[in-house]
Amino acid sequence: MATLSIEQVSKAFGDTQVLKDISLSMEDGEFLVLLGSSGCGKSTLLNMIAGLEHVTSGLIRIDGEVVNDIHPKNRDTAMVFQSYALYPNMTVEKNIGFGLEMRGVGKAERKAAVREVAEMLQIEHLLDRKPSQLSGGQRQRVAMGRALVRRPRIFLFDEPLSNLDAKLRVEMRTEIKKLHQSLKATMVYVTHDQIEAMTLADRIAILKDGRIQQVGTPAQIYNQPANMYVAGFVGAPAMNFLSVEVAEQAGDLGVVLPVKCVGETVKHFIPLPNPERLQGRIGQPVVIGIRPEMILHASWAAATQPIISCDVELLEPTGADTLCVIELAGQAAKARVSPMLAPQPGEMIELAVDTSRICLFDPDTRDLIA
Amino acid sequence: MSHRPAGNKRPSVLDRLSTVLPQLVVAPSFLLILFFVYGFIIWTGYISFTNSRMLPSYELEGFRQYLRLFAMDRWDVAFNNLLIFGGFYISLSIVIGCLLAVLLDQRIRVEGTLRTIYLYPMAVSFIVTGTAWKWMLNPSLGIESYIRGLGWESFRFDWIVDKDMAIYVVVIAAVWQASGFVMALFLSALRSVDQEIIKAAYLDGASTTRIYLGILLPSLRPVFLSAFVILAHLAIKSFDLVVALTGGGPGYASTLPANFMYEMTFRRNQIGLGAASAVMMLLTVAAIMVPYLYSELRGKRHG
Repeated sequence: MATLSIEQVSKAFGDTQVLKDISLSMEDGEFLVLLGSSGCGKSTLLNMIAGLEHVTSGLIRIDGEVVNDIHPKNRDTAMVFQSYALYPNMTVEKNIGFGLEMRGVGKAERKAAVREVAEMLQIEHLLDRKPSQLSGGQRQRVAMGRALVRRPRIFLFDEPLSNLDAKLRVEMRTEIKKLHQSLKATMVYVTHDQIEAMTLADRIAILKDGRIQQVGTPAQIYNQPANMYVAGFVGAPAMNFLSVEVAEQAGDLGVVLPVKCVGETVKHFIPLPNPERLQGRIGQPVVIGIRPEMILHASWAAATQPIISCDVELLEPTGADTLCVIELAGQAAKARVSPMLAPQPGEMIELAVDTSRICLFDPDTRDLIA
Repeated sequence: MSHRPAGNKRPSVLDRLSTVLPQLVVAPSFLLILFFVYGFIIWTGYISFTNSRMLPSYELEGFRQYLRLFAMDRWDVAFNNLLIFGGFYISLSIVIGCLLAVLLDQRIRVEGTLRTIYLYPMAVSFIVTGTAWKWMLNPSLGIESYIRGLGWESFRFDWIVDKDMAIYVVVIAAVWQASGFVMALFLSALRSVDQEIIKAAYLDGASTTRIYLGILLPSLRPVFLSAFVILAHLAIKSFDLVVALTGGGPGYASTLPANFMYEMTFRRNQIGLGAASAVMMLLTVAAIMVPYLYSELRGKRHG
């Protein structure tokens, strides 16, 4: 149980700047996910919190105390690794108890603690086995047990589910969430999987090229992405980005959206809410971000939502929804409709645009226009 | 094959050749090995039960050569030397090699250079090693005279002419030669260990010493076994190092079984006795290799 604050932390390996001016703070019991594609520096940041990497500049505080120069073992953090990193020569029981043994905990007490954790993770029957005799999911549980048993101040997870198959990954995800809820421990979780991030996090920090792009709750990240990178990274299928022009029509501010219909391009005027953000941009290009679920079948639309008719080029059924590939502003875009209402490829469909949640981005800076 | 003319179903000569080519290529060496290695093992075994002296004779006389062999002090010395030499050579090479590997594993700057330097003795033949060490250990030429020259008049390091210590001189030279090789074995194994395991142990609060002794080295068990087997068979067949270094002397104090075998077979016209000693060496190797191969093959079968 602890708070963590990272203040203007940078990290360089030789001339390569890996992390630039990172500042983050976490409350006690918070679940923070560091999200980013590979090479963005998220694992380096995690290693720095654990003390496995030196901090080039800036401060890391745990419970207010600067830990930059404190040996990893005295920081009282525990980490779960992607490869599980179990000690191959030790039984599961020894693996879990090793950290306690190193901290001078007596044998009887150790045994009791290991047993308790093993029960919590349902691995009591595996205690006498060696890691090589375990399945991937079981190894993952042992790795978690090794972290749990020490009751550390901060839990660190380094892509712990990446080596599991899809089904097991979802199960373990739920379990980690449960664990967090019952332990109320401070946890930092690194992943490149945006669904993991959305489902687990209290807050998500998105990194790109060693810089934080946005920190916020999953809802904030999803609904008000700070820039096009965040908007495109989070959400599956990805947000549609359309380059359009700002225009004014009958006193409303909005954008002109060219839509391909029966082979012809028809220009629709789409009025947008919060027109003040478009002030002074009339006639200028802008990028609008529309998530597939914001383009819905016309029969489900509210009365105020503008309707567009367009050709369906391709269908991608996913079971629950069918994605229709249509052409907006000269680019392929995806709309999400119910399979029951889905047309055949080549047919025309009437779609409504949910303008209330459309995001606007500046085409030059790629930042959100709020 | 649709593009082939119909009716031509017999495989062409080339096709047939390509299927038997692997067998054809392997066959000569297989036959040569069968004859020159296994054939002569059997022949030597047979000779050891005969009364052969200067020339092989095929007159069986039972275990007489073996009884003669076990009664000889010279064989006793040679075999004891093998135990001393083998024991120290294997254990010291593994300990030193392992230690060097651990030290080199600390991500030091000139690692590549140091690795080459340590590995180089392996590229030198035993004759060269033996000769160089003979000069260095010669009391009137080498280390002893050098240190005395520095002013320490009472310094003594004359193991090479001491009949109780001469075999240890062989150990020193052999360890010098082999530990770099063992180091390379261990270093590559250490490097293949998952780095996250080391990080995990570090976070668990284990010291570097503890990480190596408690986690990394125990997980290198197969490498220890390989090193042991390689060094063990090198030790048993050691011959040229003794020839170059001590010549088996003083007297026969530093002979090894291989030297004994050579001496009897080719110098003293005791082919039967030499064959008996060769068979004893083969059995010693087998005593080590058979359990190793057995455990290896069994391990493979169980996946």
